[in-house]
Amino acid sequence: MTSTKSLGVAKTAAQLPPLFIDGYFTQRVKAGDRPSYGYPKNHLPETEGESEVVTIFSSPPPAK
Amino acid sequence: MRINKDTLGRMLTKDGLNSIFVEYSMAVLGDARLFPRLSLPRICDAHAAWKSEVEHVRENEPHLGDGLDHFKQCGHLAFWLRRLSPVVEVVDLDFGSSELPMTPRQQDFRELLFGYCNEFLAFDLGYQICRHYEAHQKDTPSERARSLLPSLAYYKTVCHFIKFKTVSPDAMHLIYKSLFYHNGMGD
Repeated sequence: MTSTKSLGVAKTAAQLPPLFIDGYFTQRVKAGDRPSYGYPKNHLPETEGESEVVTIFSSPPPAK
Repeated sequence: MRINKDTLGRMLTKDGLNSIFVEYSMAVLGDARLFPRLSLPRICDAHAAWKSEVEHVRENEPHLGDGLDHFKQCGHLAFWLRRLSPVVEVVDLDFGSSELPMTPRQQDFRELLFGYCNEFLAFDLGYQICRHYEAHQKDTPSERARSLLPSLAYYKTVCHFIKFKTVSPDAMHLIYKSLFYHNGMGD
């Protein structure tokens, strides 16, 4: 059973503004800033020549 | 902040993870003149999830009865710290450019943290622990690990990946292991 007191608390809570955590990030978002999301700019690098396919199974062991 | 052979073990206790993460986040964010506002329940949740998962893996994965290596433990740690995101806000400690201007590197770091604060901390704490174990291995200390310093572009790539893409503890484990891999590495 819901008590009259708890109904009163719920009613009061519904009238209150929501509580947000404040701080530097929040202030920046409020000021209209947005984080710069995304991977760094990237592209396929230019190369020259060709490469031999080598694995540990096909190559001599690395020099100690 | 200093990392040593006891750090991972201490973090397995709730108070240990709490104090180490608090110390670490304060030290790292201080480099961008920011101060973390932390959520204790989230740190506790991250600790509980991490500890339970590490124990589960040790008991159920073949060959791990003696415990998980640093890459694997840190893979799980980074996953849960990133998911539970203990830093809820930060306080700006900068007094303005007239007092002591921030360097371009500090400004870049601050911008990275604006978008990826928890992701950076989650990844970097695991990275720093892995680096310690690789650089200070008793038998085969890695000189390469001592000098390894990921670039800003690398951090951005990892942070974006772990914030918006599908990430697992195993993926994080592999990232750490691959970062420190070099020719001639035994296992």
